[in-house]
Amino acid sequence: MQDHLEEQLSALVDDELDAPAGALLTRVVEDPESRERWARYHMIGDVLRDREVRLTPDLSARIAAALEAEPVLLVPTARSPVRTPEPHPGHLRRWGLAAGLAAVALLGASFVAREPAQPVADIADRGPPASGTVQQVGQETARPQPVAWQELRSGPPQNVEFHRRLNSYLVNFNEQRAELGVPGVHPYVRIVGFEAEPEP
Amino acid sequence: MLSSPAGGLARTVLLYWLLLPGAAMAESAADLVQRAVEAGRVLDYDGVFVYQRDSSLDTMRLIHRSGGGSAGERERLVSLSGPAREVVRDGSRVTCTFADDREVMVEKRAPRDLLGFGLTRSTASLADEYEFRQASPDRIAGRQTHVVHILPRSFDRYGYTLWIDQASGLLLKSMVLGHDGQPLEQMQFAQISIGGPIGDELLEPEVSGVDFTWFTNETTPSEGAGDTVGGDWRVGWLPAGFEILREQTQRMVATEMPVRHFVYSDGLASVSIFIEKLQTTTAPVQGYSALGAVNAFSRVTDDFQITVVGDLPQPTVRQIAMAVANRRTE
Repeated sequence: MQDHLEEQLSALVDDELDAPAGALLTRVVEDPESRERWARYHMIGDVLRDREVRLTPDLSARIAAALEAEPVLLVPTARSPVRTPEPHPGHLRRWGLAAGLAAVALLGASFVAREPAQPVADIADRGPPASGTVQQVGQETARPQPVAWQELRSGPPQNVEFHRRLNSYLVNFNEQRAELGVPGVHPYVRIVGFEAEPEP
Repeated sequence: MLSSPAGGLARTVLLYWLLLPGAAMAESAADLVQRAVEAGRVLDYDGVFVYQRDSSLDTMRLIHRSGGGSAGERERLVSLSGPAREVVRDGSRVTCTFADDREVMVEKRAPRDLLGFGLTRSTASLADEYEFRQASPDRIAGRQTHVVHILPRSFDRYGYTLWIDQASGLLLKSMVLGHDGQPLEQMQFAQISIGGPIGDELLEPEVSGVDFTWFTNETTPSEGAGDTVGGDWRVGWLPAGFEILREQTQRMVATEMPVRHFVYSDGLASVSIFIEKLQTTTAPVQGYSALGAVNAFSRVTDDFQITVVGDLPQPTVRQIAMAVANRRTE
């Protein structure tokens, strides 16, 4: 059953589905193996990830149209009382640590370096006019050598620490952008959104 | 032939004839964008949307209540696919709940004035950097929409296509486009309810915070004596039309060290420049990083780490980073 549904979802992605997409997703909803209602969305994501589907205008439109045909979606029903946080004047350190840890889990998997880093001196040579004296970095002896973003996921603790910092930059950038109210993608979707760790 | 007074008049008339319809249309499209920005804040709505970037697709629910002002505005964004995560924002705080990490984080926000919302630049000045075009109407989430293309006049920024609800002005679908016209990321509502009463319970975190670890950052930017980063910084190059919106010193969530933070925008795209003093125990970092339409570039100058994050193309972000300089070492 599961395999058959995934096959049909793949067909949906390829626009080869014979049956109306809404009917297919309704079947997923009613599938007793799908114990949680929102599991169907996860399945769609899995199918897309497995197939390395390129972002196209049509794809989201088709999936959104399929969702539109469904009954009104409800979020999980189990609700527990939410605890009010106790104020801790001196726990900025804890906040920083935890934010880093969570941000790595949240965003680190998604925020991927796209190209190998250039040697520092090389970047300075190729860049537009800038008066920064980047070469001095290489002359420092007390500090570790520069590393590239893609090396940060593993390796020495200081690398992981800077990866956390990049993630906190992203959160701050999003907050500024949210306050600007500029149109486009809602800034916080990048924080709530989830992407599995890419295959090495 | 058109050098005589009569010819000049004919030329003027011809120019008006050629330009007026286009100008009127461009103004109309830009006004729609301005209305979408306002509608997103002053309306109450509850909808489910699909967010896609690269090969990743997520489904989320967005609930927004204007509350009649900045103090009452409240918004909840919750994931419906993947791990349970949500962000609740109100006038003073952002609360992020991560069920997968069993953590809740609360960060204080600078208060903002709802009365001052809207695009930071007039649509007329935006037209210097972008061309606004209105396309044929489309239907999103069962509602009729205006479709507006926003095309950059240079390659140093992205384009956008917006689907704006004809009835309410809300943005129902948006797409960020690269130079080749291919979408980099997009969000599209599948269902939306506009104007209905939004109960308090819908704006409370869905995931229980009991037994989770709570972390709260009560500091606000530029607070606290001694929060100085050092250096005297200037940004030597920005794309045309970018103006400074904010300049502050703040403590980031991932570090206790103060960070200098500059925010620039052209009215649509924005860029944050972060500068912090390197510690002897911290590895300097350089290179690119990307998330959907957001690019980052890091470099090191003197004893400072510079990181630029923006919804701008990679070469633009890099060029801005390379032009950040410390006057004290020039």
